[in-house]
Amino acid sequence: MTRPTDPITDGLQRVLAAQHLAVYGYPVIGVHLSDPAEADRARQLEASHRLRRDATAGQLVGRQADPVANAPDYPPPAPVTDRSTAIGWAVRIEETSAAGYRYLLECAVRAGGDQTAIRQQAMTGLTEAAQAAAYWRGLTNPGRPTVPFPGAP
Amino acid sequence: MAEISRRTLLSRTVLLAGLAAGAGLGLTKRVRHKVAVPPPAPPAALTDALAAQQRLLADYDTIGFHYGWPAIPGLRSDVAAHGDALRALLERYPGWRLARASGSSVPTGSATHSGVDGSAAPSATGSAAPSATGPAAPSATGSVKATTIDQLATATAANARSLTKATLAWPADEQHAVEVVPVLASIAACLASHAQVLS
Repeated sequence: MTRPTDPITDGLQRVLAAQHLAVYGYPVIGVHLSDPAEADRARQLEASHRLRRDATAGQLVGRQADPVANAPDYPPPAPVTDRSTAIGWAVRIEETSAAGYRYLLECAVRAGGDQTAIRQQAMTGLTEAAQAAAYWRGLTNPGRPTVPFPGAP
Repeated sequence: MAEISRRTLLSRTVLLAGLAAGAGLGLTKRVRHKVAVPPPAPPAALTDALAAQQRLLADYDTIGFHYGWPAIPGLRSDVAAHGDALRALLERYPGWRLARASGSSVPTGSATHSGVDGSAAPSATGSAAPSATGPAAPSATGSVKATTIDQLATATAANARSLTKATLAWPADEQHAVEVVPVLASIAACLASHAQVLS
């Protein structure tokens, strides 16, 4: 059923894996955010990633591919014990999402032909991930909230 | 008078005949000089992106750091890095390298053909975006110099939109598309996050 040679399917799988991570991570992050605005942002982003996860899985099924399954566990890079470490994980989650969308964009170019919808999807996902990451970084490091090339390896 | 052998005479005769034939050919054959054709200009979207980046950087320098925004130096640093990345992409195009080496003005990439030879500008951004050397158009960072944070945010957002448009319109069969498109996309996303920080 899976078509591993299709670059767009490959890119969508990576995006889906990143969305699985985000849907898993944001509830854990939210537990450590006492500021209502921050907790609300975490909830919004979780909902957004959940929608994208479902939509991306649907796209893969539509392409006769098996959507990558979510892992039983997504260990954070450092133990999440307080607001600061929770925000650090949120940054990593959004960076992973940005990397997935940038890869999807690259895959769309490699695939050739008219891939306008996929490119638009990738561009939107990349931009929103960059903005979300900037929001989280700005909370703990106001002097350096952004990176010059979101999603770049 | 010195005597020479028949063999020597024959070889000299053959040599002279060969020289005469060569000279005859050289004098009568039409010579086709190769005409140096300048390499095509790099895509306009790329040179325009660099021009817009330079204007944005100038805006940061105009504003300076006196506003007390802690993020401003970091944002400016990002914009400076974008310029390096765009120049690295432009180095892939012989037309850019030639113009740079000869010290002439930077190619504006005004061509609109979008072939696989990298000779052309993606059509969607070719004529609408501002020229690298021409007068600044308001579509990118704006023709009005940003002197406030609000103006900088507006110029940054406009630049992000322009780059997003270029990313989406870049022809997949352009020879450097796989390298160029992700970089333009990342810069556009970065500028969108800048606009968020500045707003």
